[in-house]
Amino acid sequence: MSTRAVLHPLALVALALLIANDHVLKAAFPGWWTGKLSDVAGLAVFPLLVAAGGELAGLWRGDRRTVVVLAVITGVVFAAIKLSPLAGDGYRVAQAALQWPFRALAALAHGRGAPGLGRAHLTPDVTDLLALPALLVSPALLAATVRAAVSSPRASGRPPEPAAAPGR
Amino acid sequence: MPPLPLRHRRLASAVIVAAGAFASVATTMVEWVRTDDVIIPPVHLDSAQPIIEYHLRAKAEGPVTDSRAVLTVTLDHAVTNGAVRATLSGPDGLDRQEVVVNPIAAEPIYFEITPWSQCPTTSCQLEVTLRLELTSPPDVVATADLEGRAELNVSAPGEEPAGVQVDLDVVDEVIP
Repeated sequence: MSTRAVLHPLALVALALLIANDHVLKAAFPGWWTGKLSDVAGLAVFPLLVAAGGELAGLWRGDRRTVVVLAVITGVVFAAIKLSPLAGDGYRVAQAALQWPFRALAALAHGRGAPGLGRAHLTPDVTDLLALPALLVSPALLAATVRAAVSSPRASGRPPEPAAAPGR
Repeated sequence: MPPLPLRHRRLASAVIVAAGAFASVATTMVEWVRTDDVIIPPVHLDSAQPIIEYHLRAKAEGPVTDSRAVLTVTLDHAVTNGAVRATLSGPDGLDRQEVVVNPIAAEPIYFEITPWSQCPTTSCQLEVTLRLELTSPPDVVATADLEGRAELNVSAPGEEPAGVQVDLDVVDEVIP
């Protein structure tokens, strides 16, 4: 069901907001609110994206329990990154490793040598924890999707139940 | 809205998940850029004064760790009976750029250097020299009129930290 919830308009808006804020708005309007906007949008949709990815890969069912567990894990990891220098360093190294192939491709395209691994940028701002309530959005979107599917079986994508044969 | 068939829904979900993965990885790949520019004053070169040098100071102050800088010089020129050799150079280890302009060239000179590749501290400063030299064959009267602009772009990955100041100034004009 999370593969369906991830197509919910609110999830799509949150994802679009995350990308636009990181790559356009932060540069155009650097400041407090653009810094928080990505945290809110990211936390709102991240558990649902992971749940949907796992469901597509056949790792789990992507039901409500899965999304709630992923939301809790996301919150704990997010808080640790913001509060603990050790966790923050771990995040910077892991993120840099994930980004390195893209940076290497960009460097090669510009005729430069492959860059070092380095560390990704991290702003350890405790006030970012104000965005944690956004984690409630993913379970809420899944619940809304389930409700819509139950109230309208056609909308669930399932074929309609066959009518009972007369005379049975 | 009519429901998507299951196969299309899985494809759409996969696209959204991929976009989410990209957004999560690229979230800190965004770069901030601060720019400052300065006018290269108009100058007339002839046989009496064939050379002029501008000393430019490129500076970035504040939390600029890991920043990079690109200095770009654009010159408009009018050259008669000769050529102008424009050279941008700095301390050891800095790429030296040289452009020769002849009367045929109508486009502005445009060249750039990277004054520092990785700034290790919270403040970076560099002196760069722009040398303009009029050359001509013996017994030929040549002149050149030049003016332009220099621009410094300082950039680094991540959100722009508060308090970053980027300055580019012409600190000296020297007639050797």
